[in-house]
Amino acid sequence: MSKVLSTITLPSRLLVAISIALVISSIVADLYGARLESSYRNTIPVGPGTTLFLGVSSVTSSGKVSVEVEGASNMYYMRLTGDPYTLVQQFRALNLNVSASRPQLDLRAGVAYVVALIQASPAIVQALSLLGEVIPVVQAGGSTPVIEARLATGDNIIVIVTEASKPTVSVRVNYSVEGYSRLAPLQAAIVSATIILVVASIELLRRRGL
Amino acid sequence: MSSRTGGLTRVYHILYIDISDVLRPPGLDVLVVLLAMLGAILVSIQPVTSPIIASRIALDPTLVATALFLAIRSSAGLATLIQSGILNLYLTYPIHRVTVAVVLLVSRVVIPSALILATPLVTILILLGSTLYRGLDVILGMYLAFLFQAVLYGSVFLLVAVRVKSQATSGILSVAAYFTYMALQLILTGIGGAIGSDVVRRVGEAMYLPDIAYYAYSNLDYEVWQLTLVPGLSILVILAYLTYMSRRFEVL
Repeated sequence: MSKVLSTITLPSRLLVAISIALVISSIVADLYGARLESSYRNTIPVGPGTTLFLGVSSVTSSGKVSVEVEGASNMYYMRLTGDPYTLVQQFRALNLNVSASRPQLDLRAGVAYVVALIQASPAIVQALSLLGEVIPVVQAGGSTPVIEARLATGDNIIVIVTEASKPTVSVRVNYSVEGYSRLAPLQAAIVSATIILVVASIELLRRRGL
Repeated sequence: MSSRTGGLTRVYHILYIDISDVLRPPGLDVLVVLLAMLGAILVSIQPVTSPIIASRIALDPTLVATALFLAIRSSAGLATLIQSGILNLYLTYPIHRVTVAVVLLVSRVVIPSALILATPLVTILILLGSTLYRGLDVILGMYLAFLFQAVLYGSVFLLVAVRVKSQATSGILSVAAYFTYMALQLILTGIGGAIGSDVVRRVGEAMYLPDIAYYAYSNLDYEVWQLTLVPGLSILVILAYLTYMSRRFEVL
């Protein structure tokens, strides 16, 4: 093997390495690779004086998110750059009582969800308004409001429920990745085969020329 | 004029011979196939749409492997050249000692790092295609940041090799130096955060140039001097290596 390799030039060796890696990684990607959809559902008991905090963070991907909240009578949302889980930790540092905070990472869709319960209702909206514009969600006639937003990589959307109309609030988040594409295994195989053919013919021509 | 051309040809000869030794198969080939494959898998198990994040995910593990490759091929390899008398032969060429030292730096550090770091990047560029094409400038910037970091490691390793002149010792000391540097970076960042010293934390962060490049491209908090720490350190180490080679170095 090393005898064959030592007779061909360095660029050819690197190109062959790239084409081998390309085929194998595209097969792995096809079997276990990224998904373009992700959803998150949760039902959380929200007592009086408690705020429900929901953060959706596009960690590595970018896409469109829609958040549906059932059982909220007063809620807000805001956009934020930075890690929402760190933000929750910082609420704890501000002496707010934070319970049940838990991030959940969907690696294959490149998105993370954070849910936390914070023991402070009006104060939290004031605290968050220091970081950006907190937008109140208007609910029309008992219908379930849907918040939609487009997230770039590293962007977050935060939904805050300060008052619940029911003892439990249920959230439904749908996230779809946009602007992502990769080679299918067949395309990768064609590209690799082309690279290897070109390399082989150049190497043969080079040898005949010598 | 003719002597100048002759000099350049001699430089090219040494460069060619030394590169053929450093990059001889199958060491480089196996390493590069594995790194390109793993890098491409890492960026395709999650839907990476950002060129900055894609290049970081692929190059972070590659840099570790590059550092170990450099510790073996540049540091231990140079010590082998010294012990086997090949460096003696290089130095008998009618070329200035500093030129030979620079050629060794290029062939044992710069070119191997540039090639090893480029392979996973080219692979993910082909694999993810149109997702990354719009950020080619960012990818190039991240690549240069990783390359500078690798050159810093490699030049330290060369300095170790010409100083201790023993294969195993220089290999071990190089790996030790690499891990010390990595740990020091974590310690400074941690201590800086713990005692609330902004400067200590920033020095810790700046010891890893790819992080600062990442901050700069993502509009996160950084300072311009942080971008210059690693290149500055590299220049200092390279000057120390060249000075040692030209003044103090004696072949065995």
